Amino acid sequence: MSDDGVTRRAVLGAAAAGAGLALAGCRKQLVDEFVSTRLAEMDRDQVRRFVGELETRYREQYGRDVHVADTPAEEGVLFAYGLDLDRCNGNRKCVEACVEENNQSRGGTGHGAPIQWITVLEMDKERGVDLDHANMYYDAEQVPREGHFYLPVQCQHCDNPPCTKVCPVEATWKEPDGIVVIDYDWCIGCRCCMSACPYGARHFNWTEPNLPAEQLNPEMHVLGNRPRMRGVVEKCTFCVQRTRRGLYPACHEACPTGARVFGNLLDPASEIRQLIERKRVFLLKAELNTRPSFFYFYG
Amino acid sequence: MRTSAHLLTLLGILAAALAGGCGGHGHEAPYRGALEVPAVFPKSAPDDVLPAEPPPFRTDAFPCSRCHAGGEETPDTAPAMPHAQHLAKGIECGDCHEDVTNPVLPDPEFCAECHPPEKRGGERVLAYFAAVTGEDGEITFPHRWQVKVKSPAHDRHAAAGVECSACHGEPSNGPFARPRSAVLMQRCMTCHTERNVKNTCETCHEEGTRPPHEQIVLHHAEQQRGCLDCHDRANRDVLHLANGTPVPFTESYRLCGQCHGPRLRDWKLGLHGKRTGSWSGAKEYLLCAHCHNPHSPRFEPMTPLPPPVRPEEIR
Repeated sequence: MSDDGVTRRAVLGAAAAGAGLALAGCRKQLVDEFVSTRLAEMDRDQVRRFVGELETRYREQYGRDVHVADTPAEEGVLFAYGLDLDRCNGNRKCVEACVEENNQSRGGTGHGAPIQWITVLEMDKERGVDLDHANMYYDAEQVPREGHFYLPVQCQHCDNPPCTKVCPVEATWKEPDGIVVIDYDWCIGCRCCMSACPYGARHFNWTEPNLPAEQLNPEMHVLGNRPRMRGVVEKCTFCVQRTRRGLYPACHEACPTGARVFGNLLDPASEIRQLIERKRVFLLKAELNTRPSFFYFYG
Repeated sequence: MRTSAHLLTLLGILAAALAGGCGGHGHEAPYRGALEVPAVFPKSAPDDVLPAEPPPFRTDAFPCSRCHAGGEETPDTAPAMPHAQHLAKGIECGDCHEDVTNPVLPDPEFCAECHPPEKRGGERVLAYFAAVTGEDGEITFPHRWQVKVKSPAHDRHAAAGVECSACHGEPSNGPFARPRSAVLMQRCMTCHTERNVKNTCETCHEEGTRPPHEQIVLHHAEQQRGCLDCHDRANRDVLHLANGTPVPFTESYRLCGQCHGPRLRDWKLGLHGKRTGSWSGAKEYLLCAHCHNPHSPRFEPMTPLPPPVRPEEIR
């Protein structure tokens, strides 16, 4: 799997160094269209063949039947998320559901820390939303703890995402339905996006991820939860493999207090639209003009 | 090394773009589409909130009316004790039950005097005792929930001149004199009301032995509220609104919405309460009482999952 990335890169590098073909402006004439084409530039036909290749590879690697979807963004859909800080009680069930759904590294000796795309911050009620005094490592017998409230942070899927702008190889971009995605095979692991993201939502695979075959979620998306390799960045994709099938994201389904709201911003009847029209919502670090698609509110 | 290769790639792509686009014209539109605002269309209607089949409530398994009103008496499963046959043969109650004001089951040996095990009927007597007594010899009840009634009740009823048949009915061939099986509380309540006797819960029931009510702690504006403000007096299998309209348990949100109007509105819009299923299609809605204990609606504290690994702990 990681070989695939390296191969694609190597072939591409050679081709580009050779200059002639790429400069001639005709990528179809390259030696191997898969290994020389960014996912974002492939047409549907190429993506489908690429996905088939991935499925074969994962089946061999994990010894399980897998399905890698390539569902494109649906017309008329722009995803957004809402989170009720009155109801979130910091139980971290969303974090667990996210890890299981999205094939994150479980960590362990030789594999570094487990990767979690959702960070639940504990804050003092007296201070309000004050990121300088937030505690992501709270370890309590029971939550909510007296005098505290909880603010889960994950990728905000900004409308004006700083992370995609800084990527030197355009391996990350915003999809038409609002989801910010990464082409794991194209990512060079420079981590510029991580430093650009003001929400700490991007995570880096410092080591080969630890994903036991029995814990693999076989329902994958090429832009979402397919297994990552060492040296690439990953992040929340609003569970693209679920949401593009019409399902709610895993964190939404897992939340035991029902604090999460998800839907299509372009559908006036959707829950998220009703939320924005009826409640006072706020954005994290709104002053940075990142224009997040993630709305916090007090129910 | 890698980075330099990529920079070269970038240059290549840039040049290709400047040269007037790529050669893939015969293909479908690129995977990465243009970000344009499409036509607005609704996918779900806010009025369409009611679940087709709401998840079951406890009352389906054990209807409140079984104790509180109407309903059928549960048939006994123990073998029959033919009281009527004995009476027809001129055997009086007191011949077998030593003290009629506090009748207990005679010893098996006593019955064996007439029904020795080897003779006809003897086996049935043994089977009867085996069925109605537990390991410790105490009589067990075929109740699903054994409601313990305070013990001196029998004396007091006899002293107050209550006929045996008022509770036990006419001696039958059933396994017990009737109330030992499934006495309906309604019968007690009616009689107590008629005779102007106290009929609070504590009058009859031992503290803490009132299933399925023993776990109920009313912590929901308890200074202003009692059971029958929500539960219907006449039919305990339904609730009722403030104006008396009966409401099934499956529509309890109508009852809750009487006080919690804005919450009900939010719930109908999907801003309060949990929804699962599809953001664009069929959803499953949970009712208020699925998440909130209606008698004590505040959420209980939860045990959080462990925190993330601190950088210094990474191995």
